[in-house]
Amino acid sequence: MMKKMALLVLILAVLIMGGCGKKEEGQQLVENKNTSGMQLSAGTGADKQAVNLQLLAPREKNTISLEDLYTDKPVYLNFWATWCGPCVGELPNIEAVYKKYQGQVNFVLIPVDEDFDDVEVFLKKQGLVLPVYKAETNINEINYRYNLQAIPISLLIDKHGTIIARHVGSMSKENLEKFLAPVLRKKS
Amino acid sequence: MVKRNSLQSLIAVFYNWHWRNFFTGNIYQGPWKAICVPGLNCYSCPGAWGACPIGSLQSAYSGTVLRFPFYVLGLMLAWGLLFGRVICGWLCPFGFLQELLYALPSRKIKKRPWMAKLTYIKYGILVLFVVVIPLLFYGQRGRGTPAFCKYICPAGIVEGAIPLFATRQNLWQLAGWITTWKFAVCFFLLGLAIVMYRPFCRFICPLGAWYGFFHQTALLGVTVDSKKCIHCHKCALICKNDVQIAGDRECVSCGECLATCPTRAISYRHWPRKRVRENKKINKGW
Repeated sequence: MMKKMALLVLILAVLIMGGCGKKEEGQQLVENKNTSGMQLSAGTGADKQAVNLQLLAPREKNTISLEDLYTDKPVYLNFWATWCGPCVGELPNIEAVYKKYQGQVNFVLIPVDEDFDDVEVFLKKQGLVLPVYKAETNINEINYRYNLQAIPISLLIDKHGTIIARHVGSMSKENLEKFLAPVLRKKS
Repeated sequence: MVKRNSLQSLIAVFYNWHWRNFFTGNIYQGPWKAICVPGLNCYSCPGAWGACPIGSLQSAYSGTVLRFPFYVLGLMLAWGLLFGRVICGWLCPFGFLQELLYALPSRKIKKRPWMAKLTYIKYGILVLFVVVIPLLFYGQRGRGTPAFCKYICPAGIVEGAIPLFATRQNLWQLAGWITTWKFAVCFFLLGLAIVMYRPFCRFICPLGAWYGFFHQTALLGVTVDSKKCIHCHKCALICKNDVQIAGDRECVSCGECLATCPTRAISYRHWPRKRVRENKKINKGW
């Protein structure tokens, strides 16, 4: 009798607690919709409109929106954190590609560290010259809107604000160039 | 004990109540995640609403700025003072998983006296993988590494890697030799758990090592009445763990020894507490 009661309580508990998870459904990745030949990974949640973010450029101390950036030039958006090994490992590769293609692509690196001061300490230590922005939007909101289930995440956004490519994980310099290829001017 | 197993199964469900996430591969990232549950429950588990204390501790020195983990240590202290290794016996899903595996019919490896020496390994792991190695990495490259999570923890594979790899193919490309190593360690320990009682808890778990420090001070747990104890070691003999006496640092308060004590000296602690110092020597009988 007690065991049956315990089992019933367990089932009820699972059902009740399952009802608490409704918000998570909105975060489901849009899988495998993008058919671009430049996709480097499966299940990338592409073909979505980039949610506009207000960004603070730390050095210039001015605010700019993501929409202004992608209207100007296609955007390479990278979410990373100073505590994330692969993210940090990828930064020198991004810097090399940035130096080469900054005229054609707006590079936007947004750290998801809780404390942006950590990022400034980190960049100073590493001596990196990268366009790192502080998002004015709350990090949890960004996590939800961009479905940041893992980092680093690289997104390629065209001039209409459509996310045309998305990659989870770090990339080598060569893979980064391939990732950017859809928006680069072809050499004649 | 039927009641303990029921609570263990409820706790396993409770810690991971976002069960829909097991199908979507999403990980809960809301405010409750800041709370460390007392047991070893990986925060990369899709269902988890809380964080793992050991994982959270290592996160504190995995960043670029070293911070003393006041909050996590404070919470681990609170759990230890409240429950001690009652957490291991009653409130840890990974411990429960090992018990379920041990319940599978098979030949079992009998407990031997020398196995008690292996229990010291977990203290070494606590010091080395949870403290020293992360700090060494920090000193060398300006960023720590969650060494226990990264190189050892099997709970992370069972609760994190397996459900995430099952639902998110884009993670497969990130798997390398560390993933292979972790899977090997995990399956070895789970296999061992079929023939040996809770090997991870007894010999490896740094959280169990930590909670073991509280065996004399925790509010709850199995205790021995020093006035009634005749040091017959029957509790140590019947114990599936490696206690020298009920209620010592290896005791997970499962309560199986209560009935075997000839003088009924063993009970679950209530305040005011009665306890006896653990014996260093044990009979050669076991």
